[in-house]
Amino acid sequence: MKVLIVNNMAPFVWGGAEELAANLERNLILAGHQAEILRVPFQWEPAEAIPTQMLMMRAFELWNVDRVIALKFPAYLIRHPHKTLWLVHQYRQAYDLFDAGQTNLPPGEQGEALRSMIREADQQAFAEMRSIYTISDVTKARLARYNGREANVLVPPVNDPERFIGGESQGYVLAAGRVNAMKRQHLLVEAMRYTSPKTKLLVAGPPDSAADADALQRLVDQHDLGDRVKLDLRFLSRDEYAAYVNGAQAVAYVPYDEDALAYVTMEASQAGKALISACDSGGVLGLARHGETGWVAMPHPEALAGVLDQAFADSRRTQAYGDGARERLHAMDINWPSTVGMLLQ
Amino acid sequence: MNIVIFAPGLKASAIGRMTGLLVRELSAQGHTVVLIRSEEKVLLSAVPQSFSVEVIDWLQTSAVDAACAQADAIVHQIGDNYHYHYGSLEWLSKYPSVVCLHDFYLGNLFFQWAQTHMAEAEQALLHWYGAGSNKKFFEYSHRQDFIELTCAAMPMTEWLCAMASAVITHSSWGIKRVLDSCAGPVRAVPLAYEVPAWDGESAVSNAEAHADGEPFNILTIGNVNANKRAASVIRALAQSEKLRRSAVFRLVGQCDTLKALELSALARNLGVNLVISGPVDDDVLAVIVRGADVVSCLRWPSLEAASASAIEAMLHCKPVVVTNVGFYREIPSDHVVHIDPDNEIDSLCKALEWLHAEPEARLALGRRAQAWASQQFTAAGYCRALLGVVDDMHMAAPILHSMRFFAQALSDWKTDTRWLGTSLALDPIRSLLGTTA
Repeated sequence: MKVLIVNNMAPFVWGGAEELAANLERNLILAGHQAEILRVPFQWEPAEAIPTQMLMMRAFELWNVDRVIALKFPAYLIRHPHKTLWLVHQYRQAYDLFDAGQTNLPPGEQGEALRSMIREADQQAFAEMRSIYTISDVTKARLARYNGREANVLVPPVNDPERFIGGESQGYVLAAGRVNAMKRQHLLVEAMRYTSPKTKLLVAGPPDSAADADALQRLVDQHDLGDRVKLDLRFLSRDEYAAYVNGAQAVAYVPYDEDALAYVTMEASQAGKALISACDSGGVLGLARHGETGWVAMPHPEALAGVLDQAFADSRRTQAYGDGARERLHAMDINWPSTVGMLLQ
Repeated sequence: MNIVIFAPGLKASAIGRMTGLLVRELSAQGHTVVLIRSEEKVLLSAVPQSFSVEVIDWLQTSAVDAACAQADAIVHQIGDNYHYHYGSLEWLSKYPSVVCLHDFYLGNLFFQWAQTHMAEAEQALLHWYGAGSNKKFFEYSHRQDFIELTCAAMPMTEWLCAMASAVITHSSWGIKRVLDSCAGPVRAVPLAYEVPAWDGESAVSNAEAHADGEPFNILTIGNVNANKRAASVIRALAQSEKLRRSAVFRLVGQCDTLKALELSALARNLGVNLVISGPVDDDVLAVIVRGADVVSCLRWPSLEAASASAIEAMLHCKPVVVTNVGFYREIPSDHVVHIDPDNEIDSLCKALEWLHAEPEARLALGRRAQAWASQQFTAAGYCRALLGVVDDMHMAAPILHSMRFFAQALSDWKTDTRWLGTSLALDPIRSLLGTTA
């Protein structure tokens, strides 16, 4: 079967959705299909240019494609008679982020018109889908709440579980993944002001912008945390990244309302590492369970400082939480062969 | 080129007669033409004029589909007469077509079509003329002054032209509404008209006859209704002692009894010699036209894209008085006498007095008009322009297709398009379409 994965593209930005598409392609091929990714540029600033990009997406003519698997707005607007949605997210600035006052849509009548248009376009696109899956319970709930659409959750599997074998702690809590304000690594750095001197933090991953990197570095300098906070802000190879995970005392991931379980937490769980998260971190909380797989704190530096210290206070308990995270992940039975099978059903 | 033309086949239809000219010219140029009669069912049993090409009734669905499928161009000749253009309205939206628009005002056509398409009709009114227009139009339709009430604000030009892939009009005065509604090419092309044999001698003899004290004959041709201004002609003649004594005002064409009584009473009261001849056949009409000293083609309001009676009169070498409005305003001022619509009766009285007093000037005016009209209103010129518009339509087709696609998507998304007027939103689409429109 010829399967086209359709996704957005922001040139020179690579994150979870891009990783998901690439691994879906790889696993479709492993399952005996022909698979390719169509990446279409999408830029949400300025908001006035969004309708044109939606129209362009809608105007594409696809042929020689048996199935389409679409991941994101506006990629899922593409026309095809056999289209499956594996929803990473809608245009959240028109939905929950709008309600939260975090939208980039202009205020007043213009913004309302644009929001209404995006929602109508979504409704039309969702009605065209042969099946709808979401990557997490959070995405599923958002889809049900705002679009009245039911969906099944298909959590994206870890792509290379063999790398995440765990290992002896090297004495740091790892904060991994893309670095930006929404991922809130700055909360963890600020928390380090209030932690025990023996607590150490390693922030590792590619910053979305130079400003994101500078902001973290300033915090470290400002609070004189250089001896206990290490910043390795760059794109890491899978080997480098896995070594950081495997050597961590625990793995902290505190984004604001993440859509999915998140690769960082899944890979940490696979490695048997205790998880630290925040109570408003969304889909991540599917794995991060307070007192079961790790710690869930309020999204404030002082509260996070407490749980960072906890990770070092009792290593046996920390390891028990890590084991619990691995068990919970495995109980979810998330693997690529069954995921591919569901998507092509 | 294979060309399908939808038009009335009846000889009684001026549009049908004009189409006959086109068909002959296109055939002479080597094109294959199929004529599809567009009259409503009850009229299709009447024998059509001889077109010398294959003629199909619009009701013969398979045959029409087959002809259209093979056609390089589909053309609809349409005016404001529902009975004559019923079939065109049935087929127009099914194939991309050129509409040759004979009337800018289409209120009567629309009104009668609306009786069986009320939901679509109301939607069209709301779309083109805004809130409340759907109610107003049909309220006005019960009134005698329906045309006057709707011709400026709701002429329904846009409704028809929006269904066309290209439009040919026969003058420029009402073209803005066409341009606003037809996404494809639009061109103003002079109406094709059959040039009669040179009639200069009869015009001369008629001028001389008048000099010997014969009546001064003023003629108006066509269905007698308020917008042909017969009452104004009577009042203008009454204003002049000389004209009252010497002029005979003849009306040729359908005239209902009430109108005839009303005009007769007015003429009698004002001492004007009025003759109401009713409808006549072509031969009689030719004799009457030849005998006329002046042809009055006054119109208010002006509804036509072009006036067949004015063209015919000019081709017959007759001096013509016209209202300075619409199509008539586009006729050069040394070929007709323009009458000021705001000072109609005085202006007309002066013009008729001058024409009455100056037979040589009358003849010279007629000859200039004839020379101009015989160059202007030709079937060859019309066909040349029509084929050019067909080429333009084919070139525009991909752009129109894209525009329709985008418009449909925006409509499906219930987009408030007022907001899309920014260059940020539209420039990329313009780039894609390769247009600055």
